[in-house]
Amino acid sequence: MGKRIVFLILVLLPGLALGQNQIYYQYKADDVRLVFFDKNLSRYIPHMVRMFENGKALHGQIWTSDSVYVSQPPLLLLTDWEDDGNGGATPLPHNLIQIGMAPLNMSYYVNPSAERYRQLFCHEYTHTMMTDKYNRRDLGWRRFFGAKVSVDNTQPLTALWSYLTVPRWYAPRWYQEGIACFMETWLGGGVGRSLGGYDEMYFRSIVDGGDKLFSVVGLETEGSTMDFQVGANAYLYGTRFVNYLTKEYGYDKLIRFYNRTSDSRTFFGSQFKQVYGRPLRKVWNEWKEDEKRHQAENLAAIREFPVTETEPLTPEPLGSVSPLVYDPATGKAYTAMNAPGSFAHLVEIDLGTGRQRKITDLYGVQLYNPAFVALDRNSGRLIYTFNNARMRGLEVYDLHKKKVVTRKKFQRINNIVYDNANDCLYGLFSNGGTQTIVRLDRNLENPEAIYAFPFGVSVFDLDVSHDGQWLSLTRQGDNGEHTLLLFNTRELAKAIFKPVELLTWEDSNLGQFRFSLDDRYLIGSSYYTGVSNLWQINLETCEPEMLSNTDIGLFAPLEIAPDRLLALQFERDGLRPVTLDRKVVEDANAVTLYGHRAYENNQEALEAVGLLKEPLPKVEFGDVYNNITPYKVIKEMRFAGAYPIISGFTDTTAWNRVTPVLGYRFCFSDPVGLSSIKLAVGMSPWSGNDWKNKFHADFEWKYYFWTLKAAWNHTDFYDLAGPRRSSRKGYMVTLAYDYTNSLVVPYTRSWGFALGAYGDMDALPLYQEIVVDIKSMQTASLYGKISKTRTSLGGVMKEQGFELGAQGYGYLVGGKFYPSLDGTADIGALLPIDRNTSFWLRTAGGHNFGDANTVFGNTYFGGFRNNRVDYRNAFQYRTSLAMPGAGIDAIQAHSYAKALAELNFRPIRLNDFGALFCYPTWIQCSLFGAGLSAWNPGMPHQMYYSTGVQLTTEVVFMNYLKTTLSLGYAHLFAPEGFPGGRHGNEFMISLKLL
Amino acid sequence: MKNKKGLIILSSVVAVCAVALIVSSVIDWPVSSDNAGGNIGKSSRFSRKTAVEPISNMNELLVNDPSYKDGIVAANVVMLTRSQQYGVLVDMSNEVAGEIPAYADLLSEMNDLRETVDNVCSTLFQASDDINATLIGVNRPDLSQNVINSSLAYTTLQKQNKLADKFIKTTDKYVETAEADERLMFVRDQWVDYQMMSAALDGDKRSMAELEKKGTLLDAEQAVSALGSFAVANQVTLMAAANLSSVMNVSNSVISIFPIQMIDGIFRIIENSATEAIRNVDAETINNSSDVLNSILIGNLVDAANNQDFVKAMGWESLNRGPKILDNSASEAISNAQVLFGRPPRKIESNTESGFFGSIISIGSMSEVMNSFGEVSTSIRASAQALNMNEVVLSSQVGEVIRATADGNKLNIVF
Repeated sequence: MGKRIVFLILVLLPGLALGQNQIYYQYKADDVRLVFFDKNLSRYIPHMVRMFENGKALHGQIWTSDSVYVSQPPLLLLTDWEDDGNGGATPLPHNLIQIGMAPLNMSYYVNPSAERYRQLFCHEYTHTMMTDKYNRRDLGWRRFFGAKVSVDNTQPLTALWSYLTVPRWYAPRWYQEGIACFMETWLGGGVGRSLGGYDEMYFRSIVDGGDKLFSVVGLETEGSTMDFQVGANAYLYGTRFVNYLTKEYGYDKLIRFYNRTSDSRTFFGSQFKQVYGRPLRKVWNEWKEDEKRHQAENLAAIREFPVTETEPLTPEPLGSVSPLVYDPATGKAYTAMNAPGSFAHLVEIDLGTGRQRKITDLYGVQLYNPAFVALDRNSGRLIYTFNNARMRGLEVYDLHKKKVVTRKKFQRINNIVYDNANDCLYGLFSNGGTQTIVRLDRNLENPEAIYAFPFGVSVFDLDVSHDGQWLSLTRQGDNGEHTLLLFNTRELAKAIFKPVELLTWEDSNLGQFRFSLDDRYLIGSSYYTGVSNLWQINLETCEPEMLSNTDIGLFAPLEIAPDRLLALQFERDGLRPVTLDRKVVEDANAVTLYGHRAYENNQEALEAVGLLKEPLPKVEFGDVYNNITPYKVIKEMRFAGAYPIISGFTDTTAWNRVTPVLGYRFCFSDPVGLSSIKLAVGMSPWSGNDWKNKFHADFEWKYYFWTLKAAWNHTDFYDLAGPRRSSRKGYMVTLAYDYTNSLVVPYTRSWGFALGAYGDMDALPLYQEIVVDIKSMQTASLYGKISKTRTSLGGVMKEQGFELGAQGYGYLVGGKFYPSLDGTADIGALLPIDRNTSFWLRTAGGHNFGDANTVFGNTYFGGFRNNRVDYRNAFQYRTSLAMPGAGIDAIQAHSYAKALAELNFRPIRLNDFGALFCYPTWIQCSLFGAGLSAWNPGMPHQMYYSTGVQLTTEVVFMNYLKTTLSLGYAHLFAPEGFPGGRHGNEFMISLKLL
Repeated sequence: MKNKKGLIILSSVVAVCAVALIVSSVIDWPVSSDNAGGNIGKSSRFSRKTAVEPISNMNELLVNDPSYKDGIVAANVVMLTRSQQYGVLVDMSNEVAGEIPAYADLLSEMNDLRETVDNVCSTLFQASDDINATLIGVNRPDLSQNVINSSLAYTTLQKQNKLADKFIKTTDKYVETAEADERLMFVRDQWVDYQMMSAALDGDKRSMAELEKKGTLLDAEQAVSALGSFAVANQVTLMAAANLSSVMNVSNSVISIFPIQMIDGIFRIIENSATEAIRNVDAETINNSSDVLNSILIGNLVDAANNQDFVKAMGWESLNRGPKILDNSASEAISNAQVLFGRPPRKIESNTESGFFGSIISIGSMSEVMNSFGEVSTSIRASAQALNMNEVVLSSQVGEVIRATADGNKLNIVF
């Protein structure tokens, strides 16, 4: 048998190369390592390194009060996987900062930005400092484990080890993002969300509308899901609260609160109390009162002059909305919208009646501007972007045919606008951090680059004049200044590349400008007064004029008739289409930014924080560029920590048939995480098993899409609690390949195969209750899955779509092969009765081709299949082998068909319930009923029915450790002669960890 | 009592309003005077400009990466040479077919394009100038944008290559029914050469084979006679294009007329002139580099005309009419150029250089690069031969550099 396994592995080894079809590159220095995926990007790496060094040096001046800490060189992962720039940071298992290199999305100017990489590194390195910085105690734990420990849900003990090594990682999102937005602003010359007009507007809208501000716990529970901004509320509230702390208690205290020093407390809430002398909840409530006062003052200041009147077109705000496009011939406007409780879609709004009509679903939307939309008025077509959070594609919806007529993936074109005079589409092509103005013909074919910008230049908000002669867009400068540019398309066609710089505002934005009907003006919006008002720029004189004095915010104006504008008005629950007169406003007050109040009280400190005391040594281009080398995954693998573990192993002599196993796990991985090895060894000398079953070893090597596992007396932590058992006696070696493609949202395609060899087993690998006593056997499996599922804003599970899967499985035992085939098909839909309420029909069917008289020729069903403590999805009753009410593996079928109908009710969000370190976020109820048809040779056809209910609640510990508690009950109706009786009841309680 | 109380309140309100009115004129009223139009307040916010190192890395790349430098410079040389060639062929087409009705529409289209050709050349000169300056250590902040623009400009022109096909087709049809003069057929052959290089740059082997099949209408003797009848400036431009074809191993009818040594000889003069010019140009005089080069080049060509036999074959005896102007001023050089080449330098918007001299400086001052370009091509050719591949590989690579520069990268990613 051993020879066969070795032969099999040797045959498959060349296939390993399939996983690694891309070469990675790196620049490695003493204090940083940068990894990227495209050699052509090498020329940009020196700039990245310079910006990183700048961010690091600035932070190095701030977090200096503890001499123990030596910063760990982070891994900078430069990617070009999305069309909108982004960043992310984690301290686990190594410090890693990921930079999505595309230009930032400037929709609604939510994120004021200076030079994007400088800002990203100032922001993301804050996270690195906040989470990685240790004191003597943390260092001691890191030394004990040999590294920072990542949480591994198969070993819940790792959560504790992880908390001990990186305690500040386990703090709420608002805590992390608040300080990062604060730092991005003050380290970035005042450009950032601490002084952002959008933030100011959002809180002004809450206070003006008399809505509640979330409590510190409510923000994490209700606040992160209730309104259209979902998780972004953590940024908004965090930034606000940090501004308040600075304003009221000073900059120095803020740094003390965040700094991990020898005298600091481990838990962030305790640290807050230590620094500010009062509980966090109280101070948070004080901020809420202060915010209301501040906004009341600003609203009063705005209203000293007449507020511009608008006429709403819809009864409610529409959530996230893209700038409207309008067809004067039909009087209808179109936009992309995304609001809680329903799926993102294109909508038609009749300006005469206000009637809304859903046109088609939108897939893959962004938070603030769901998709870019252009209108071909000549042919009645809407052209819009999809897969917006990744690489965008273009789709065409024919308004006459009422269907999508064209779909082109991975175009990477955004900011689209249709030139109705020349029947072509303009857009901004984004690739490798650069942007190009492109033109496509009416069929979205023949893309032509008509103007390109060098690396580092960010442009957005493209528009074309009605006569097709001019293109306009906004360019962002290195210090956040905005310039309106005009391009003459006729000149571009003649190879004259001389854009006109119409207007530059040094520290105010110029956004969403579009041509007036007579093409003599550009009309857009700006936070010039601190409020997003409408402005027009005269193209001849370049003079700006203000068109509104709004109390909350107006955006994306479009002239629909002479001197009549269509615009979007901001409200707490999103943007609402309105119309208003195009009339120049002469008088308007500015508002005071909350962050500016913090600045006024800490002028000296905040001016100094962004200045380097010592000039930074110049990073020479050649020193970086000429030292870029291939990143070799295996060669880069290093020891990544070792820690004690506990798990369970089968023991028929024990009262619960399980014995605890104590062991130690050793980890190795490369910095990017493309290859990782876990080796766990353990022993259970106290068990009643034979001596050879008292020693345990588990080995797992993940390499790209491949997983090699080998075990002797495989153990499992979750066997310690509950009826489910995964541990098995004997040896096993498996090699699996799992490939998943989710490049286009919401589609996921996956396939894979696995080969395994087992010996000295006590039960079948898939069925714990089916006892076997065989020396060796081999298995092979092959599967494929395809799904298209969606979750609307505020949802906690997949609410609509389909999932299809097929699997072939086979045993090779004693020279005989026992194959089987299974298929699943699930389909679900959101119900119109209440938001986030869905109905699913889940079906499965299968047939075993082997001898039905052996255990290898059947499929076994039964049970909820949750463990008391588990790490898998809480809704195990949905799996094809579950049959709640029956014992696990109690129902045997040679062939089967199964259907389960399920009604999932809207989750109830909890606000301000629980403590800072532990709070429930939602409670949800599901009802289900299942029918199983079983065929066994020589036996009559049998029908089993099960019905039940499950209550599920999510409880968050230490802000990052999400657990799910499930309570369930089911009743089984079995046919005559079923060993468990005709009726069965099952109560289920399960805690899903991590 | 009640009335009295009301009166007091009213009086107080009036008094407060009056005081507010008076005080408001001397204190800072909430409306800021820092406004955009009327009395529009600008929100106060801390703002500090940070000196940001220029992000453009093209200049650093040119200095640090010889292969990048070679690629971008070679691409620029190719683009400039071909744009010049296109312009000259449009002029020659007018000259030889202007009176033939069958060509009226086509020539009208070509003439509409003339301004664009000049703009393309102008953009390419600007990029060449920036590259030259950067290579000798002069900072050109707009280098990246100008190099990108040059590729876009060239791409714009390439969209008009269909006119070349039309000319070839029209001529082939014309010669079937009418007796065409040799000059017309020569221009047609030159358009074939032009398209041959277009196909090579696109890696389009099929088009190359088709053009090869079309062949030339003139034999060598007729071609020499026809070439000599055109303005010398046009001859030199066609020779430059032929030289380029030679370097890139793409077939060309001029090469079949003249031995490559002869073309090399002419270009050695051009290169030597450029090298000499570079020695005479430093950071301060870079803006006058073209004038310096012009002076040197013209002088050297005159010398060559006096001493070299091959110049006679080119019909360049007329060069003897010009004075030796090695030490003359730049303005004299320009006026002499007009004498030498029989027509005024082409008007280039925002660029005082003539098309022809712009071409020379771009190729000439990059002589060093041209040499390495030759070496690169040789080595690639050797590798290609070893791999039994076609020389199209090299041409495709240059085409790739051009496209990549224009597009930022490639459009239409396919997964």
